[in-house]
Amino acid sequence: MKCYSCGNSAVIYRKYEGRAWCKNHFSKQLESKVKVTIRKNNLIEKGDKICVALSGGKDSCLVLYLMDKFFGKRPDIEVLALSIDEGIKGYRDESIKKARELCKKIGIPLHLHSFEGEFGKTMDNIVKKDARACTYCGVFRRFVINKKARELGATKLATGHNLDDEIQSVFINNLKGDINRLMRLGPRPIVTKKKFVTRIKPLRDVPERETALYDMINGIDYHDSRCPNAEDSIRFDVRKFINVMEEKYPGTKHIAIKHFDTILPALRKHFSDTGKVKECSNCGEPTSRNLCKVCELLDNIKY
Amino acid sequence: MQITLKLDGKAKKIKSKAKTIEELLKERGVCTESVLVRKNSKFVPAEDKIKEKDEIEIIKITSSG
Repeated sequence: MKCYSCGNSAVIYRKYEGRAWCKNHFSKQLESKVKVTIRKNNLIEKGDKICVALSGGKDSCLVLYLMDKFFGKRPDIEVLALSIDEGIKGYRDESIKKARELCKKIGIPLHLHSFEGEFGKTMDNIVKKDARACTYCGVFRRFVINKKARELGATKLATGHNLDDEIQSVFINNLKGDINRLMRLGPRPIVTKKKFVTRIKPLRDVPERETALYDMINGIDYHDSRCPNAEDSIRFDVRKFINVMEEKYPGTKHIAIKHFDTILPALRKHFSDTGKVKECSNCGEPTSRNLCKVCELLDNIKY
Repeated sequence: MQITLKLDGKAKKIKSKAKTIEELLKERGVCTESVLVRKNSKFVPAEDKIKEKDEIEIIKITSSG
């Protein structure tokens, strides 16, 4: 197949738009798409200190690479990276290696923190006491990322969530009937209390396979491995289902996310009183409960 | 038609009736949305045609979950 723009050999055919693109035009297209997402939703403003949550995987590496490419030379914007070592031997140590290499290559400072440093426990210790690895890991990681980003003075916390992640979350929260979590999704960040750093998702309009392709053809070396503790959760079934639907009915992911964005303001208006942010009675970190989930989980594994 | 199929780092020679990579993926029950493909070491759209002795590499996209 030939590139729609220049006639060179294509690297991808986007069924959802009916066009094939070569390496150069695909890369330019993806960059433009991310710029539009940022501009349309005012994700980044003058004076921002952007902290990229960097796992070393394909999506977070791409976010860091693009933030540096778009804003690295701007004197009024600062970009830095934050990695969390959960303590999963043979997995996270390898991905942090990739994170370090990328930061060194593009000259971005990497701030590294660990569960061991924060909680005195690694995930390898925790899974021996409780099999719900993903529950602990997800809650603890979000806690440390927010706390450390705030301590670094970040005004925005950029994550690698792509179009597939976002539409999967919409489906999952609908299937679980979780309105509060559903309302927290969306293209524009919800600005909450001062202890929460505003989260942004610059890759929200980019399909997952395109983030991987961009990395591979642009020499972004990322860690490509599944966490050994990963459970076959509802997300894996939803992912499979949505991919089959996209294959059969191209454009499904884009249509579904557009539809969600259309009804989101009405949802937020109707359910605006839910999910008020308080401070945890034990650690003082932001939470919707009296005792935050982190303190509750730490109590489960204190022996 | 005989081609070389590379999957999970292992290459093997297979016989296939598929005329395109997309048909080959269908034959093997692989969803095009969850993979990228290389033909003779170059990334190509899954809709590309296949000919005798081509080397097709299927790259599974890992999701963090």
